[in-house]
Amino acid sequence: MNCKDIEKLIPGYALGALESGERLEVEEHLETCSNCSRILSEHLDATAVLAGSVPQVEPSSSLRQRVLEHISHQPEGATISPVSNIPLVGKARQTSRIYRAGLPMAAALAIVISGLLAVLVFQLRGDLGEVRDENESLNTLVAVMQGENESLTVLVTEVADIRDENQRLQAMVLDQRSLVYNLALPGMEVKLMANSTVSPNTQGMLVASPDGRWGYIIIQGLQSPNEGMSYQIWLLGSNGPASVGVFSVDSTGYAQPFVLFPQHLDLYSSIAITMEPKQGSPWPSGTQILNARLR
Amino acid sequence: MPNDGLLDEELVTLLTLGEKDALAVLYSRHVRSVYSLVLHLLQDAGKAEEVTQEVFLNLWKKAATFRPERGKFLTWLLTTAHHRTIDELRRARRQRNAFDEIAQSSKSEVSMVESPLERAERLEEAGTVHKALEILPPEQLQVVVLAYYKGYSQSEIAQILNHPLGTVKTRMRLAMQKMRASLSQPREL
Repeated sequence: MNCKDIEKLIPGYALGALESGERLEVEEHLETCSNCSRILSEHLDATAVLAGSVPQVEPSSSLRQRVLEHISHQPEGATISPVSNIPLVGKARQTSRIYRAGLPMAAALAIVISGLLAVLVFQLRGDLGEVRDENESLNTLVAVMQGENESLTVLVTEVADIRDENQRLQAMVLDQRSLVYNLALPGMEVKLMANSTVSPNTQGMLVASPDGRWGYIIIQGLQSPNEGMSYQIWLLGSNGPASVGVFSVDSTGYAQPFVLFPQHLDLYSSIAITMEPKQGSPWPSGTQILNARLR
Repeated sequence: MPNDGLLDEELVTLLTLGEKDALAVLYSRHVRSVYSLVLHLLQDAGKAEEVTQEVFLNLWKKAATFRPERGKFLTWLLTTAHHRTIDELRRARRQRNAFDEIAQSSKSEVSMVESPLERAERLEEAGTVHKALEILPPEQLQVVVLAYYKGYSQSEIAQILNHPLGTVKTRMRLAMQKMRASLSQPREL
């Protein structure tokens, strides 16, 4: 991160509102950037006011004892970090020299070694705590990533649905092109179909080829068939009814099934559409929706 | 104590040499400020003492990380304590399954739109809120309270208030600008 990025994070850092990873990035940057350190210092002066605004309470007297006892187990001079830039006053420097000069060599060596070990253990404990904190942060991050992953899965499903819809629309366009082409053929014959009282808003027509062997049924305003049912097309003649096929309608009530006639259309007296079970019926059994006389 | 007359920054230098008396003096001077802040956030005296103890032991261990050129010692110490306390708050929240808590209590947290303000007003009446907060408009005061006193991160605040993350960051930035400007005569803590 550069200074510009860090400056944006500084208000959140001062208010303690950054995630642990961001906080660490700010602190690493501050190690080497005096300008950002100065800006942060101004922010921290402001948040220190917030700290000082809370009701002041004394802790128990035993806390002082616990803190001082804890560090009493560590030898003098145990901290191994570099000395900060503040110059020592004379008395303090003198005190420090006395500590070092007054100890016999062997005892001093033992103290130094045990001190280093104690510091090492103390630091390791601190490091372990930080690793635990980091681990918890990572767990939280994983949970967030899993949530993102689920969102992505939903998105992929939606894209697949859109792709399916697109393919369906492309197939419909091809059907329409085919219909327009065939309707324009010379000699195509159109017969309007009459609706029944059960479907008064339905309009339909039969468009038959000049050779009487194929055609289209074009229908609009027809409701979707009942659950488990479909519409079936029949040709009626002296040899009884002949099934041409079953079809359904789209959400707007439109359909244009392409049909092949078993024999020349002139051999039939009429065409009819009924509602039948979904797989079709061997004999017309349902209510008649549309019909047209053929001769 | 022999070191009683030294400045905080001088005492920190002695800490880096392992002078325990220096820690005793710094403890006596600042434990009240540290403990009060920690207790205010955690609302649990036992845990507050634990965290306060960690803060002073950390001071003993990492005194050399203090840089006097970057600001006052007490400011640094309070920032360390605040960050450590927020870590504790967040750890406790995670243990209570933070996401569920936020989702379930989002209504009550949103109602904190009023609650922090009421709290701020109450503290203000008691004369305990510094003038730096009086100048903040309600929406900026709200994010400052949720962040500094409640320990929520920017993204958590955005979730609680149902605002975009950018809005929360902007309000924090503006709030800090105003608070800094009001500190033309900073008081000694």
